[in-house]
Amino acid sequence: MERILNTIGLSLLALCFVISLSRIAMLNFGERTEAGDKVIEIRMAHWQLEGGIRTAIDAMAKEYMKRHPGVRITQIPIPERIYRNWLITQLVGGTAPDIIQVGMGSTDEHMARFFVPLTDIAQKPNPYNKGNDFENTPLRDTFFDGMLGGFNQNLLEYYGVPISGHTTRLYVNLDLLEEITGSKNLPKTYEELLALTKQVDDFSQNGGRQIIPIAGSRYNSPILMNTLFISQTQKKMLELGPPGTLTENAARTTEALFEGDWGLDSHEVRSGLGLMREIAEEMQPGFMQVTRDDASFYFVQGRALMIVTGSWDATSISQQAGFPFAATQIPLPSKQHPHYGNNVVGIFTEAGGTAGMSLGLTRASKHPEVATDFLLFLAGRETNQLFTNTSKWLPSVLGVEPDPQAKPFMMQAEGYNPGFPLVGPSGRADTNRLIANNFHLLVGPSGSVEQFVAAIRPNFIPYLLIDLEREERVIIQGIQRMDVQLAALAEVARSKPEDAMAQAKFDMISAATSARDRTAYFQQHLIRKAKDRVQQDSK
Amino acid sequence: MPLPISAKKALLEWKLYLFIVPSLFAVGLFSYFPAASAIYHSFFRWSGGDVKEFIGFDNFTAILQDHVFWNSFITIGILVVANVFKMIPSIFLAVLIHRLTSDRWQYWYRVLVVLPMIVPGLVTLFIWKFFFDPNFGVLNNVLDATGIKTLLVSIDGLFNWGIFQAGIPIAWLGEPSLIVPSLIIWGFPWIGAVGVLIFLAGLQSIGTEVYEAADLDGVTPFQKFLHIELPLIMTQVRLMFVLMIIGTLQGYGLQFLLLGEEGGPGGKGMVPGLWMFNRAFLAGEFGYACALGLFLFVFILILTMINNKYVRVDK
Amino acid sequence: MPKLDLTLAPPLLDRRKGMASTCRADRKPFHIPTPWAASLLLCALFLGLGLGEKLHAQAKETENAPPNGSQSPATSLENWEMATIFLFDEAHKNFAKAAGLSQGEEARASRLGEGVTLLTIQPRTLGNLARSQSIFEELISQNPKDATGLAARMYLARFYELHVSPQAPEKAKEIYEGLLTDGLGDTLAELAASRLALIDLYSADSPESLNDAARKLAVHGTKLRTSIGRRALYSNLGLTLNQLRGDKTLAMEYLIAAEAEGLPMQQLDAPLLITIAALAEEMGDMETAKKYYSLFTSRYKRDTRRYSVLKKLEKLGVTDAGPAPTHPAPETAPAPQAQPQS
Repeated sequence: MERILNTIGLSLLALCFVISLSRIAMLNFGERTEAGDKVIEIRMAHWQLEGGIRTAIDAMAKEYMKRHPGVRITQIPIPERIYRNWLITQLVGGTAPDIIQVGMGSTDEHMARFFVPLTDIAQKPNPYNKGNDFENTPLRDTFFDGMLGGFNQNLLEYYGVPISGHTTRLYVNLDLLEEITGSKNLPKTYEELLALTKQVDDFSQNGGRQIIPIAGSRYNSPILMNTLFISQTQKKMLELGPPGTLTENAARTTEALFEGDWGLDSHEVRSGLGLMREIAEEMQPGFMQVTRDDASFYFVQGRALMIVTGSWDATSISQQAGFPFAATQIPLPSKQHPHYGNNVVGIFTEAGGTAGMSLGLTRASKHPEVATDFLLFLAGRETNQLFTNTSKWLPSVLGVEPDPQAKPFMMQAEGYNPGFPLVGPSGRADTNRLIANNFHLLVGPSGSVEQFVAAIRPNFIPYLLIDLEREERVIIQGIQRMDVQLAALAEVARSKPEDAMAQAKFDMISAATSARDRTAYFQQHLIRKAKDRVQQDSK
Repeated sequence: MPLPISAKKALLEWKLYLFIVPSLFAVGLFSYFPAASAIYHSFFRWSGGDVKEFIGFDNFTAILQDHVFWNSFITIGILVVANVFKMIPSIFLAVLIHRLTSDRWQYWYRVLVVLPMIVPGLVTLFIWKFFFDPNFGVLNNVLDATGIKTLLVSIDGLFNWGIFQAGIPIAWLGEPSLIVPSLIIWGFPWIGAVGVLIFLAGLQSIGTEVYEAADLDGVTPFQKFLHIELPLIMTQVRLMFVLMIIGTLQGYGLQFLLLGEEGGPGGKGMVPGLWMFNRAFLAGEFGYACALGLFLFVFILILTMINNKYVRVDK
Repeated sequence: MPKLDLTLAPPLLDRRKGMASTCRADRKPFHIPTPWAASLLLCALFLGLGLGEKLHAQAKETENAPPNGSQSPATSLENWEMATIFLFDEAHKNFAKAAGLSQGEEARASRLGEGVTLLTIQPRTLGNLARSQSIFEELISQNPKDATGLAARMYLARFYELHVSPQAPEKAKEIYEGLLTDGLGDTLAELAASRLALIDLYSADSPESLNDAARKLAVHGTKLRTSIGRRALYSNLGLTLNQLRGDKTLAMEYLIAAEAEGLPMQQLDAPLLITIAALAEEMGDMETAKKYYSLFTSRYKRDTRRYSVLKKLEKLGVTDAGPAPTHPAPETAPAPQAQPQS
């Protein structure tokens, strides 16, 4: 009896093993179509779990699979919170999907090592635009931003095909707005926004129903607060120079800080921080501890009148909210504002906004030609139209009619460049951590601008120095790689004088290397100034 | 205790050792290899990809000057002490279940204790996050309804903390001074299923004759606990103590989910594990994070050795 | 030796009943129990699968590998092409192999490739850097003036300038100066002028020395024979002078010279045009300002600065600066939208 039971057990084990073995073999060696050809699987990963996107990708994938029966497209949505870690693990482990959304967690080094440059296809017409007026237009010129959203400034190659565009807006619950104010007029200036929040406070006190004027969270609030802050440094940015500075340049802004052209005590920074505190008082207490989902929850539940978020949340909100809502540009202080107006130049332009949701091709792809073909399909006008119609997100291809729901989010071209932020690039991990750890002093009920500034002042420059040194290492690492690439392209150009592409690439890389060299030297210059400043401050 | 055999005999039975090869291989690949890789990379400036530069002991000397890392040990120290006290409810519940005279009821209580284990820890964390919500969370609502909030406001007024203010919801995870208390409060009533089961197993090894003798001597229930049950389950208590220390020192999931990568306002929730995560994934300093991990490993090893040497249980 | 007390060892004896005796004389034929056989079989299957996977992957790699005719070592050109797509490790291995197998110029070219790729293969160690340095020095000592020699000098200078830690800009400077004597006409060597410019300008300790350094360096521009070399030099001179607040007239001169050579990318060309125009505006040269702002608006229809530049042109009296930004125009929303601030 025991022997029989043992045999049964062992047979079951063997059977399970054989089944899993055959499944693995099938996956490894490929399924077959009815005709006996191998089914090619293309896996595509992204972090856009917002409403509408997965459906849109499914729809596009189905359309592609209809046209190419031997291909199967598998979508892999990964939560944003863990995307960075997941991406690094997949890339380093060699198990990355064929197509990956780039932009979060992917450094230049990752791009160079693990992704295939798409510059070649960017310069040729997209076969999926055959029959329309883009038939002979290079792929990059079919995007509203010239495909800059997929261009890596440091590596000088296109690494992604962007399929959407994004803007940030102030969303307003129209029913609640009418209930509170008696009209559906949206605030056009910061003054009007603040007045509206006061009306909401009065309504909450007298109306018996607790309504949050602006739903805040540690994700949403910085969008609003940083926009208001950079409205105050707009004029200063133009003054900082050197001549030709029309856009914010982190290196130049940092140098100006060390030279004393601006600082934690300068009036534009204090105004910016004051604006941030003022608007924070109109968000729910403890908003910095809640997440994006919580803030969205307050808004769709009708507990908050307004929320600031991107166009990426519009579909999710419309699916969950049981009320009509409108989206408007984040109101800035008008020039007539007695306190904040003097620092403002004008409304921000969104003209230079780059296309988003950039999809890159990994070197780990077993079928790069098919994956590239799928990317080209996604970049086609027809498919982008399908994308916007299904997802309600903004399109990235010119000539695509945005879905009516996406129209309020269209980029506002006319306007001026915004000012500079307090810290600069998000890669400045230590300085950003200093701000984050003391932010409660700025926005907390018993906090103030003075307390916040006093708390960050001792470590502001020292932490910035640490971040600058880290940045320098990254820049130098990048140049070290570019040097080898420069040598390689120089040799190829020398060996193939008739190859126009080789000459053009060498031309580009030599110009880019010079630009990176200038950046590196200026960075070292900044570090010297930072060290001088730290020494000066310690005396 | 297995009988010793000579090396010659062991070699003759070499075929038996092949049984452990698969397990050894798995342990080697999934446990020892990552650890070895971390040790290797701690001597490099490494950003997680292919680019790495050998820098010798620079990472370790940087640790000595890393005040965030050292400050995080203060937080973790407080949490370890709090977790020691948080072991008490599990012991208490195990004793209560053990003293039930009905085997059937014992069984059902054990099932009730184990059932919440089905819920993933992450879900519990998110529920607690909601509890801590300043505006709509259960915790603030209960404090308001019971009048404890008013009491806290008065005490605040006496000591001038500036944390509890009338009319302003308490931001449990938004106020630096409340971060550590929130991390301690988390998980109330602190009854862990694993702990209860381990203690219960220990209690069930106590013979009934011991209890009979105690009854004859007129020992009170509390004295029974203090002089009979607690001493006889000290092995389990010691085991749980070691596991708790290792888990608390290494853990950062709680702080990450509740407070974010920066450790919350004021960085008050920063613990060594979270700092490691921060350095690796935010600052891109994977080599440095490996060095931090190595340091933490040595620290925990030393603590475990001290525990093994000095926290002895007389049999 | 302690006496074995068999009364304590019944379990041991029982276990031994079904097993082969340890006594050689009466050892039974090798008996494999079933669970052990199953374990072995499983292990063998796993290993076999892994090996099969590896062989399959290798076969695919060979199938997908760039064609290499006769299976002989890849040529330098093929290896350089690998390096252009960041396959540095692979290129390095091939270069090292080819350097050993080939002769004459091909060997030198492969050796150069080996030295250059050593600068970037990981992990980055002092040993690799030292080997790279010695390869460059070896190539230079063989022939410092042919294409390979010039490239080796260039990369030795770069090694001192940026690859080694701490950096040694003085050594790099010496080599760059030598290259400007021997390497005129060689595109790579002529880039030495632009590198020299950065070293000298950033080591100036006063505005006067900055401007003097710029004037001395600009002289090289007249000798350089390649457009790439001149463009790099003038860009570095003009933009650095502008950044460090050097002499505006000098900066303007160099920036215009750089622009005349033509920059291949929007990301570099657009800011250059605006910088020239803004500098001209600051110096009161409105005609130059108008010219370069208009050049910018005619070339770049989609740029964040376009609106600001159009406003500047309006102030300068130019009202027909080309069409408005070709972004999709904002449509009327279902609910009223905020209007642009004036």
